[in-house]
Amino acid sequence: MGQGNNRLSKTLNEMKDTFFDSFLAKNIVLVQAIGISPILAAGVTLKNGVVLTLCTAAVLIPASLFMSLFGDKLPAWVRPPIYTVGAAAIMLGAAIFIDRVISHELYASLYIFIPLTAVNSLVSYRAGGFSVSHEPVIALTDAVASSLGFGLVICVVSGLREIAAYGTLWENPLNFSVVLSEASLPYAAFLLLGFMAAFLQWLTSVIGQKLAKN
Amino acid sequence: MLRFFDYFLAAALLQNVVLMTGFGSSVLIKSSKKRTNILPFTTLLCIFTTLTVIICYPLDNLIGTGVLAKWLRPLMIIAITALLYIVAVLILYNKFPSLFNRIKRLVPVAAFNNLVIGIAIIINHQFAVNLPGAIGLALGTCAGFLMLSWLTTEGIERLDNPDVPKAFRGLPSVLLYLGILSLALMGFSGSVSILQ
Repeated sequence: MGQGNNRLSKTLNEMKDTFFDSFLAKNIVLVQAIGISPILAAGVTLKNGVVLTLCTAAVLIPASLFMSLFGDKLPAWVRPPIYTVGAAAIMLGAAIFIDRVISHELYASLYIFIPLTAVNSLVSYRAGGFSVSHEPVIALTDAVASSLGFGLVICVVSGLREIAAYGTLWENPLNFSVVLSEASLPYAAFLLLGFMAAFLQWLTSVIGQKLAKN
Repeated sequence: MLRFFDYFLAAALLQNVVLMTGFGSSVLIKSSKKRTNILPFTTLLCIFTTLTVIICYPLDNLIGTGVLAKWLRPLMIIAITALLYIVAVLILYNKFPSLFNRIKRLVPVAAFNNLVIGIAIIINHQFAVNLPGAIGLALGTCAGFLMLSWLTTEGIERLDNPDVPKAFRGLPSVLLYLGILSLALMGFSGSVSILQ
């Protein structure tokens, strides 16, 4: 009974650490430089940001679970095509769903970027790397936290770029007199990501110093 | 043939794909951390990008432009890249085992990334370009990636400097550096991109 409780508490602690690391402290985008491409290319409106976050979660969660359960039974060189083609099949379903059920305009604006989610470095590094060497529950926690960490960054960047470039947020006009249409270009996202990464680095350093004092 | 050089020069010099579209930016930052990785990684990237474009080009014409074709096209491109990856691994493993051992970690990253698939999708989706033009764009993209990798490595080495504020050391300064490069390139070539 005692051993069972110890194991449970160890697993819960590991889940907590994994979640905190992947979501914030070692944020997948701002610290690990993974999954930057869709933010630069398609993160120009908040709606795009939310859709790409959902697509990333839809790919990453099953891929991580699959690789955690079966990854170590497969030779290392066989894993990438398996999870990538699987992810592409999931994205095919997502594309049809968005096109037919949600909005054709939204699908048209993300036509290139929805399938690219399948080859996002987020999938290859987390599902193909981390998950293979971890238990399913930890791999699942990492996949959820990585998706949320990616979502947080893409939604902040997309929202700010939408406000600056179009003067709207979630397509609602904000009635700004100045609109900077160049904010939709990739350089603006690079600069925003740079400042956000610096802010996170400063924040973790301040929190680390406070914890060390206590 | 003129199309080949037009697209090659545009993608290699004027409109660097990573800086103008963001495709391949994560793999660029990762591969640029180690100077010795740049050439083998870009060579592999070039092989996968060019072969994917060459194989997808006639298939794209075959599957047509219907709604179903539009949905299935990305899956077709990814499946072709997966086949190319398997063939590449088998050739390297059987014919060049020592080379394979040295570069085996780079092969999947070079095959499955936004740049390889993104270029193939863009060419098929957006371009009324002939095959030499498509090959020129693929090769030019890789030449641009190579140049940007060297620039990024130089940047990473120079930015590892005590004069840089602590919060900006490492990734933040690299992202700002790439942002400024992207802005400079946009100022040089204009914001109307052949790739957007």
